[in-house]
Amino acid sequence: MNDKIVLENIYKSYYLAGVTTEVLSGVNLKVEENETLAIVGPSGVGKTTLLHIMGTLMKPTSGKIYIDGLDISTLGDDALSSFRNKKIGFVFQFHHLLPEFTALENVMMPLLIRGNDGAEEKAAEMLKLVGLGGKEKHRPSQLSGGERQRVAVARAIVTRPSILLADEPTGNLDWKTSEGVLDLLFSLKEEFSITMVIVTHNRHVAEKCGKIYLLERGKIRCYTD
Amino acid sequence: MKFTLFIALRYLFSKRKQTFISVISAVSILGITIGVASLVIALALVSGFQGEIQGKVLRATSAIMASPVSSRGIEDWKELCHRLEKFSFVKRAYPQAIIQALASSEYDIKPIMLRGLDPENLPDWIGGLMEGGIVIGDKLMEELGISPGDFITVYLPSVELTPFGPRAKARRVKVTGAFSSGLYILDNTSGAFPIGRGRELFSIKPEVNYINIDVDDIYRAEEYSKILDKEFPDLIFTPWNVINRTLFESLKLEKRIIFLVIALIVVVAALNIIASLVLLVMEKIKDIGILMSMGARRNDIAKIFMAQGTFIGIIGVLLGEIIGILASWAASTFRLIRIPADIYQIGYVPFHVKPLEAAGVGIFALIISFLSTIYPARKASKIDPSEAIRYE
Ligand SMILES: Nc1ncnc2c1ncn2[C@@H]1O[C@H](COP(=O)(O)OP(=O)(O)O)[C@@H](O)[C@H]1O
Ligand SMILES: [Mg+2]
Repeated sequence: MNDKIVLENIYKSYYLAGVTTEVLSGVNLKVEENETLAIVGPSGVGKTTLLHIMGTLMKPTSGKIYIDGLDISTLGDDALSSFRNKKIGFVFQFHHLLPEFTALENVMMPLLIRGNDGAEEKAAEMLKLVGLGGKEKHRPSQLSGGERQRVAVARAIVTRPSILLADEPTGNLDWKTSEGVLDLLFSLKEEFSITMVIVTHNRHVAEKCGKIYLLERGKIRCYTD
Repeated sequence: MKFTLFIALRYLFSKRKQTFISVISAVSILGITIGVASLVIALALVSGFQGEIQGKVLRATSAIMASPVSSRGIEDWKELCHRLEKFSFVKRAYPQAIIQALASSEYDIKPIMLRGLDPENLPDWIGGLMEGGIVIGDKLMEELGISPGDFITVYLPSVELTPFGPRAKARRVKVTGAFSSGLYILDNTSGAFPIGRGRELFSIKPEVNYINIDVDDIYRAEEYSKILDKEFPDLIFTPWNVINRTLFESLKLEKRIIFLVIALIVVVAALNIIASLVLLVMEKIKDIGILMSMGARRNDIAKIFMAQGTFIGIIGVLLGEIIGILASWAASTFRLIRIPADIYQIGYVPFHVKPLEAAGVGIFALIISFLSTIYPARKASKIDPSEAIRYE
């Protein structure tokens, strides 16, 4: 198995009002291609921080990140942007859809950013795949919580990324809706052979994953072995 | 369509959650509109005055006036006119006599500039000249309280000996009609008689003391005057714009001042653009984070807000130009604004929109609008995506 994501000795400190808080103190993690990995841990422990570092949205204070063997600290700002656009899809706890745009336009957006032709057809197809055919013209405010999260999932994978990073994707949904969204995530992951990292509070969610890691006091350790 | 433009347009035209932002966007559009419209109207006003007064000045005088260096008049005017007309840029050279005098009726006495004109070559606003009489401006006729056919006494600026001692030279002449040039100063203080009749009417010796010269291009009158000055040392050539130099210079200065003052409206409107964009950036922090997580570059984010502000500018400029041009046209065509002619030479405020000036105003406002997007756009592009996404 190939290593998809490798984190080497990641440290991250926040500086706020003169106070330094070390959130991550030497995290080492390997995510293998096509696996599904859960990160669990109490609130405020640094799970989102870790996920954003993996997703190149944030630079660690120190440590190395390799994605597909590439040291991403060698990439400039613009190169990193197109790298994200090509390789990584994000799903957040809050749907984070753009409120002024329809479901279809939201799903089209990463393709438009890439500058692809045929964004509309691809996005429409993806909306059907997540079970929202017929709701293309709805604004986020005209969709239910579960539907919004499905649009967010469609948006995350419409570019066919090889990595999907999900930060408490069902954290704001009721149990039944959560099930639907999770099933969708897992089936899409299979269909498109995506490497998936899910941050979750939910033990039940974690158990669906191949590996579970626990983040505690700045360190991460495997829970399943 | 590039996605930055797509997003900018949607932000501009969709209903805002925070109405405050749409209100101040509307205010910034309105500000640009008012600024541009005011600039177009104000410049049209000054151009209108310039054009109108220039037109009237040119109708009343010729492009270049030649006067003798000595005060004895021009005896050899026929030969001089002939020589002048040999220059390729001279269209016509014709004699004129000017006599400064006082006109007196039963009721009043007024200064009058009497001009001896060639009856075959009259300005179009003088209907005709009668042998054995003079015509005077309609305003002057009114002030003297006379009607066509009445006689007035003209006091000439020389003295003659009479049986009663030296007296101001005075002649009774018949006023055969009135003219109206539209230039107040002419209609109020001048009169005309057929050239060659000066001796008969006023007993003056040289019949001609000026030569009028029409040229092919009035805007080169100054240059032509210099050429003629070299060729005719006995004559002084004065172009039309030099005769009225202070008037034209003050109109030019006025235009600059008006521009500077009204341009401030546009600058204030630009401050509104800055404020509305800064607020929009703050409202859209989360969107910006998401777009960055999807691979939008910092430059793209900046472009969204630059496009947005530039749109505000474009809409404001278009509306302002339309309103300014329409208002100028209406005010001029229907003579909406009346003013006292004795002060301004014209009875209404004329507006003349010069395309280049109107375009300049638009470009100026667009540049200002564009510049005011730079700060908010930079602010947007500096947003940290990771923090922005945590926003809820
Ligand atoms: N921008 C920031 N500045 C300062 N502290 C931060 C910042 N972002 C997060 N933190 C702190 O870092 C810690 C970890 O946050 P986070 O990664 O969101 O944890 P989790 O996702 O596990 O709840 C928290 O204590 C949080 O308050
Ligand atoms: Mg979190």
